[in-house]
Amino acid sequence: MHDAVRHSARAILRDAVLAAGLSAALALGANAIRSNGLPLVATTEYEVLVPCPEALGDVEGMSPGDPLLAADGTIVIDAGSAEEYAAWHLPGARSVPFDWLEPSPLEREVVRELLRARPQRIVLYGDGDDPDSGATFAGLIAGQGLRNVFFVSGGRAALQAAGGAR
Amino acid sequence: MSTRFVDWPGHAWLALAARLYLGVVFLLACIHKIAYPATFALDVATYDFLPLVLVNLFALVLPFVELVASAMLIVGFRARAGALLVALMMAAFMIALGVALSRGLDMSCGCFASQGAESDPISWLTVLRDVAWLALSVLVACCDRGLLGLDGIWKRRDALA
Repeated sequence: MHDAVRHSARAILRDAVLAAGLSAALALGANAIRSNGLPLVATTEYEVLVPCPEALGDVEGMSPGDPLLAADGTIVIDAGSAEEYAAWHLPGARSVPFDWLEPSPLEREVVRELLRARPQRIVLYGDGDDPDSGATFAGLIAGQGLRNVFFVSGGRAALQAAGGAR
Repeated sequence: MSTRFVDWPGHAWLALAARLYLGVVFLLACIHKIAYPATFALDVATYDFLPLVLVNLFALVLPFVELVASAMLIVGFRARAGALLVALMMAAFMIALGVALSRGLDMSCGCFASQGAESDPISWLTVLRDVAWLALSVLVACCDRGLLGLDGIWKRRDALA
């Protein structure tokens, strides 16, 4: 009985190898005669664009007049450029310019530093556009496992309109 | 697997249903890939699983393996070998899918036709589907008795001779 099973398994394996060989011959033959055949060995990299999901966490918007902005344990981050920060910023805010094109190294550095300070909450404000750089930056920071990350709805302009002082 | 379990007559009919189902599935799967090899090669490259030198060769040969295996299953010619080929392909697809998912790639499956990641995204459900097809191919490889197929016709003819 075992011999029969072994014989049968060997025959199945042999047939599968033959079928795979036949398939390869058919494939190469068909590729050789078709007008849009592929080179057998690709020499240039394929340009593939695969969107990798960003690690975005849940963040809440905060109104520009929210008292938590000035509360103890709050770290406020200005996500605007250095020039924007120099022109106006909320008192006590740190400047961490947000780079839309390559935010990752910067955000990791910021998170490390923030964790050392053991804050209760982090509030970011950006350009207030759609999408808002402050909200996006906040999402990226929250995506690294931090809770209590907020952004100021409306960004810098809303804060200025609400009467934030330099 | 005990012989009594494999020899249960119901398995032959289950294997027949599985054989025809897998045959049709793989026939449908290979059509677009054979018609548009460059598109399928791009799908293969997107998985970022094979070295560049193997991408085109794999993209050319795999659809024909699917075609030959599906023909073997549908007409019942060396159907168990066809099922073995399907099982090997399923195992390979599951590994490639698992790697892509674990790397967080948000991409199209490329299993039947090249579609966007929005309409045909890979997910763990895709892996589960491949597990089901792997199980069916193992059933055919173990239990096919050639019902309604060339294997059965030749077996009966040899028995009469």
